[in-house]
Parts: sequence; C-alpha cells; structure tokens
Amino acid sequence: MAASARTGERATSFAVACSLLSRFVRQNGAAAAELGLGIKGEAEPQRAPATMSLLPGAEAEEAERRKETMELFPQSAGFGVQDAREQEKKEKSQQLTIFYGGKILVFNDFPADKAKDLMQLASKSSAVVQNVGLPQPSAPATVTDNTKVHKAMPAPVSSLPVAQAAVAPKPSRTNASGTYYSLSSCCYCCAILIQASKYGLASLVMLIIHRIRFFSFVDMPIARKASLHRFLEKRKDRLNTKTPYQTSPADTTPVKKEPESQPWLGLGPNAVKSNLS
Amino acid sequence: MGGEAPEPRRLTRALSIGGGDGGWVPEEMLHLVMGFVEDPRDREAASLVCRRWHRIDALSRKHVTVPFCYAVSPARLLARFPRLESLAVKGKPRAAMYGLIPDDWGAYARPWVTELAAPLECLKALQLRRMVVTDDDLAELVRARGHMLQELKLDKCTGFSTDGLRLVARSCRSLRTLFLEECQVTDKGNEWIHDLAAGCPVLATLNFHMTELEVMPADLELLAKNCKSLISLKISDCDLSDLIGFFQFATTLEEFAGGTFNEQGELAKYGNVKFPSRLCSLGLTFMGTNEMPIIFPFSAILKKLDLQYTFLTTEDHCQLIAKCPNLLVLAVRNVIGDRGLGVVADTCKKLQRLRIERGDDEGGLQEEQGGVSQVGLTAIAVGCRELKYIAAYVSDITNGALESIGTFCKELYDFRLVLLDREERITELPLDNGVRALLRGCTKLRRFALYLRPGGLSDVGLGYIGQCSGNIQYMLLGNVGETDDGLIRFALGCVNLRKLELRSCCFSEQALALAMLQMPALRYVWVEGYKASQTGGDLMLMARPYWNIEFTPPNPENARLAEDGEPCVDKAQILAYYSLAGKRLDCPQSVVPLYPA
Repeated sequence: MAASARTGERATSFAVACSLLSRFVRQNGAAAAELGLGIKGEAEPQRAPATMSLLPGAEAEEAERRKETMELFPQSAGFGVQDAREQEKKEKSQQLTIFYGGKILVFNDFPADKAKDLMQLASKSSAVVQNVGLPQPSAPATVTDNTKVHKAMPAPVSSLPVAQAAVAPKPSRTNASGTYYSLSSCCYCCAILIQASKYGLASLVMLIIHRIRFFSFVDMPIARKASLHRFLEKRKDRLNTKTPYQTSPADTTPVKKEPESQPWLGLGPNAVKSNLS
Repeated sequence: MGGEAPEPRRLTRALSIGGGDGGWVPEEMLHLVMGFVEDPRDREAASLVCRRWHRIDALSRKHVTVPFCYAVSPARLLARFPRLESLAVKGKPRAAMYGLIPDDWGAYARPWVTELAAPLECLKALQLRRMVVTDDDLAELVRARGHMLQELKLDKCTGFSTDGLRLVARSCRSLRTLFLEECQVTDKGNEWIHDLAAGCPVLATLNFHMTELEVMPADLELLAKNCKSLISLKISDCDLSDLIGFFQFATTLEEFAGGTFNEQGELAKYGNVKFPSRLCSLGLTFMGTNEMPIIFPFSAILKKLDLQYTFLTTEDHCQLIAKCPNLLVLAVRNVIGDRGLGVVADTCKKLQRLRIERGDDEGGLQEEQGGVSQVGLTAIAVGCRELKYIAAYVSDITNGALESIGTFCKELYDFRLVLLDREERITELPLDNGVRALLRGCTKLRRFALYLRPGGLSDVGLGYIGQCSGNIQYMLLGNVGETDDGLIRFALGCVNLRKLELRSCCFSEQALALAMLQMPALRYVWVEGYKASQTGGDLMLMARPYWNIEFTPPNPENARLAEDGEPCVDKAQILAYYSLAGKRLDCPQSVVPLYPA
C-alpha cells in the first residue's frame, strides 16, 4: 500500500485498455465482442453519430436518447455544435485521439459509434465512483504540457454533464483464465479526445474522461511502506550517482529507463500478444 | 473445521468459585494465582468476575497495551492500574506507515506523558507507536520517570529532535533499551549518542535503524566500550569499514543492522571487518554481491537475516541463504524470486518468520526481475513447516499455493498476502477456494491480511473468510468482494475480529455501517476506498454508545504530494472505534467526528 500513484502501474493498465481498443479497431468484428468489453462487434454504418456525450448518462433514459446521436459537446461549450453535427452526419468514421501522459495515440477511421461505446464503457467503471465526490479542479483543460498532462490538466469536470446517479458497480471482469482487464484502466487516461480532423474541426476536441482514477476505488494503487520507499529512492540515487559497480553489472549498473511513453504504447502490443494468443 | 469459532473461553466460570462478595479464597492466594494469568484476554475475563477480582487484577496488572490512544483517557487507565510497570500505546492508524494519513492527524503523546508524570511508582517501560512526541514530552517524561526508566521505545514516532534524546541519555541511567526505529528525528548533532555511551552503562539495545540520524564511529566505539552488555545495535547509515573498532569492542553483540557500504566493490576495504563471535542477527544496508562473502564465515549460526535493504540479486540470495541453515527470521525483497525461495525451502527448516517485501517495480532495474509467485510460496509451505509468520508481496498466485499453506503451515499465526498490480495476467482468480483452505488449515491463525485486485475474491470467497476466521483478531482486506452482499456475509462470521482494515473495496457506506454492527468483538475499523458520500451520512447507521466515528471526506483541497512527487488526492476514510474517552477533541480540520444528532 503505497501512497504513491505509480506511473508505471497506471501506464500498464492503461496499455491494456489501449491495446484492447486498438485491436478492436483493427479487427472491427465479432472478435471484439469476445473480449467481453461490451463493445458491439459490427460496425453500424447507418448510425450517424455527430456528437458524443461526455460522460454518458447513468440514467438509462438519457443513454437511450443519446443512442443515435451523441452529443459532442454540451451546448454551453460553444463550439458550433450544430455545424459539426451537420457535417459529421455525412461521415461515419473519425480519427480518435487519446491523450495520455502527454503522449498521443491516434486511431484512424475510428467509427464514432464505437467511440461512443467506448465512452460508455469507460463511464460504467467511472460512474460508480462519481458520488465519491469529484474533485472540482479549477484550472482549464490543457493538453499542451507534455509530460505532465495528467497532473496539469484538471478537467472542468463540474461543467460537464456528469451523470448524477450512481450506477451499480460492475463486477470486475475475470475471464476463464483469470486474466483481469481493468476496465477502469480506461480511467487511467487523462482524457480521451475525439478529433473530427477531417472537417477542419481540429480544435473540436472533447474531454471525455479526466483522471477518473482519482475517483475510482478500484484503481487505488497498492501503497508502499514508507521505509522501503526511502530505501529504494536512496538506492536509485546511488545507482545513478556513484560509479557503476562494474564487477557485478546485473546488480548495480543503472539500467536505462524506458521512455515515459513506452509503458503504455510499448506494452500495448505485448499485452495484446499475451492476452490474445 | 479448525478455523471456526472456538468454544467460548471458560476461565470466568472455572475460577469464579473464588468470586462473589466475601468469597472464601484468601486475598493473597488470589493475588498469587492472578500473577500467573498473563494473557490480557484472560485478565479481562477475570476482572469481570466481581469487584474483588477486578481490584486484584487492577493492582497486579504489570503491562497494558492500549491499541489506540483515543480509546481510553490516560488518567482513567492509570487510575485503574496504579502499579503498571510497562505501558504501550499505539497512535495513528497503520496506514500512516504507508503515507496515507496526514501528518497533522493527531495521536499526540502529550496527554499520556502528562499523566505518566504524576506519581506512578513502578513504570519502567514505555512504548509509543506512530505518535507525535515532542522534546517537551521527552523532558517531562525524563523529569518524572528518568531515574526508573529502563525501556523507551519510540516506534515510527515523529516530532522530536536529538535534543530530546540528549535529555534521555543524560537522565536515564538505568536505560537498557532505546528504540527509535523509523522515527523522524530532527538531527541537531550527534552528541546524544556520546551522552548515551557516557551515561547509560547498562544499555543493551539501541536501535535507530531507518532514521536519518548521523553518528560518529568513535561514539559507537565508546558505546561498545562503556556498555558492556550491548546485545543489539541497529543504526542508520554509517560505513562499515569505520565500524571495525566498534565490532572489536562489542564482544557481547548478538544483533546488528544498518551500516552501509559506501564503496562497493572494495572488498579489501571491508574484508577486515570482523564481526563479534556471538552475532547471529544481521541486516547490512547496501550490501552487494562483492561484500556478501564477509558474512559467509558465520552464516551458519545466523538466526535472523534482513536483506530488504541490500543490492543483492536473485542469484546472490540463493548463494547466501544456502549457507544459512539455522535461520528463524528472514526478511527480503521480492528480488529473491521463486528460485531464492526454493533455496529457503530446502535450507531453512527452522524458519519461523518470512517477510517478502515489495521491491522496485517501476521496471528497468535488472535485479528486480525476481518476483514471487505460487511456485515460491508452495515451496516455502512444503519446506518450512515451522512458519508462524508469512508476509509476501507476490506477482502471481493460485488457489493451490494457498491450499499448500493451509495444508503444511500448521503453526501459522499471521499471514499477509498482497498481490501486486503490475502483472496484468494472474494464473488463477478468484482465490475463494484457496483462501478457504488456508483459513481452515491454519487453525492458529490470528492475523490475516489479503490484498488482491478486483476479481481476486468473490462474494462467496468473502463469505468463506467470515465462516472460517473464527479465531482471527486482526484483518486487512483490500480489493476483495464484489458487492455489499459479500461484506455482510463476511461480517456475519467474524465473531472474534477486533480490528479490521479495509481498503479499495466496492462497498457502500450503508453496507459498511451494517457490517460493523454484525461483528460483536470489533473494536476498531479503518476504511479507505469505498463508495463514500460527501457527508458520511449513512455511517450513522452504526452509531451506538461509546462508538466514535470519524469521517474524513474526500477533499481535493487535501491533495498532497506523495513521497515520489505524485499527487495523492485524498479518498474518503472512515475510522471508528470504541472509546471510553468520549469525543476526540484534537481532530484536525480534515477529520469530521460524527455523532448522533
């Protein structure tokens, strides 16, 4: 149980979410449904989703109403929603861009209805915790800061049409082999942004989820004992500052740290490999 | 089913022949008999027989542990037990050790020290754990008890400086034990240890392990020269090559921990270190592969080995432990790996306590590729039948491994398992059947911790824990269960559970409150990570006399930086406990005491 929210862990869980997502996009079929993600397998080109709800309503009614048309923005957001709606009705696929930790993951031709399903999926694991009490960050969303996005980008959650009612928690998913896909690892992402770039609406981005891990009880990091944490920090310092201990390289040679992006971008394929083979 | 609730204790009835008013058992005899009753629970039962028994127990009780400092007022406790020789008081919730409790939370030693300062003739030993102790407190304590004090243990305490330690060192000539492990001490110079060496000739145990205190090797040498009965020394960082003189004089030393190797690879520098011949307990900070051989000459007599704070690789662990057949206590990080645990299982047949801590799992460091799984745990269960204590952070687990522990580790008293969240894939979940088998098999189990991940234990499994944990007094559960139903099933079985900690579970406030009402022996519960409300309103369902409820609302204002700089936004916390002291008066702003309207 460590107080520290560990970047690596977050990234790993998030990586799984992303890999699932990317696989889904690629295969775009029944296989995706088999993952048990609750995403409908077949693309439904007839749907003309223009907008996506930010945090899809917990109220079934709301969800029902939005089924066919997803609200990209609440009206109050002032992004010329009507225009967007008009244009997007003509198209069925968009580019899905996920911002996380300052890194960008782009899915081309991501069907909007699938994106919607994704959002709903994410909201299922997040809605339960909304009554935990959302922090109400005051700073506006900013996706420019590069590595610190997840810290520096508090979402204006309060202004979003956040579902008020709590949804019963989804039992965690365990497939036959015991592999656990943390659905709420979707929550790890700082923000999922839909970008309708094809229409020149480059700035038409929407914040779907923001740091829901803060609100999520299932994503509380296992805490680490303070004494051990101090030791590990000291050890890291020693490894980095002292002359490497050549006689036992496996022991003390500082191993180059993977770039920040790798835990989730890099682990994604691995996760796919291990989970799907 | 051995793990089920035991027969109610019969001590009360068996001995009550001497009770009643004007009972015929002579007072002296009762005193004598009572002197042989040590278990605090037996004492408790005896004290409830009648007024006379209560009085005799009160006069003859020598040690009391107060599990939570707000559970009773110091004055009341000391008025009841005027001849106390030893007192231990625990403060902040355990979560404080993991950085989950704010510094200003409370648990001040002041009220306790103030009471101790009043004439309390016999007190010789004081232990404060996770409390805030100031230099003024130490001064007051020393003023009142200094001449008598033999044992002062400040365990993971904060708030004092080396000035306070100097006072202790100068005033407590009978001091035998000074324990400061993991305390946050403001370092105002190293005179305190010089004073200690000069002023406390009977000192046998000195521990300032895992503190930031700096000491001079010369002072330690003086300590060894002056304190002829020094048995145990655990220090902060101090290069081992500077301690050659100390070890030379510390002929009685049996336990040493701390030190450091500032120049790794320089075996020549450390090759001259000669440990005292009686040394059988060891933990060397930053020991690496090249320095490890300095242990080999006496590894066969080692009873206790702490490798948590070393640089050793999996292979090093294997080599070293293979030379330690007499270990009773072993503490390592998970770098030991399943391979290392295999060696432990083959070699350490007498092992009683095994702790496998969590290493650096941020990835990157090659040596941390160890990781412990069902393979290692099963080997341990089969190989080390004397184990009383197992605490392990594992990367993978199966029901079978837990069943093995239930089958073979019949002496197990305390079992703690944390499933790390780094691996996405776990061989077998949920662990319902394994947990049941373990609880049924380990009939001596009194403490139990299980920290899994969502999906790790179903509601059914949670029900099993309730059914099979009749003897368990302390439990920590994390990421278990699926619904409120599981929690209630669990609670219905926990007849003897006194202390419960829950973290990161999906239970509702209402279910938590109702569950607390089901556990008759529950004295203390701490919860973090549940479906909290802003007001904690449903917690009032568990309101009852003497039951204090403290609610810490989730408050982003309280966001604080964890030690690694990551932001750590508060989650709602609940602390509820029985208290004879009434309302807690020193709650910080972040804590809201709840009382019925």
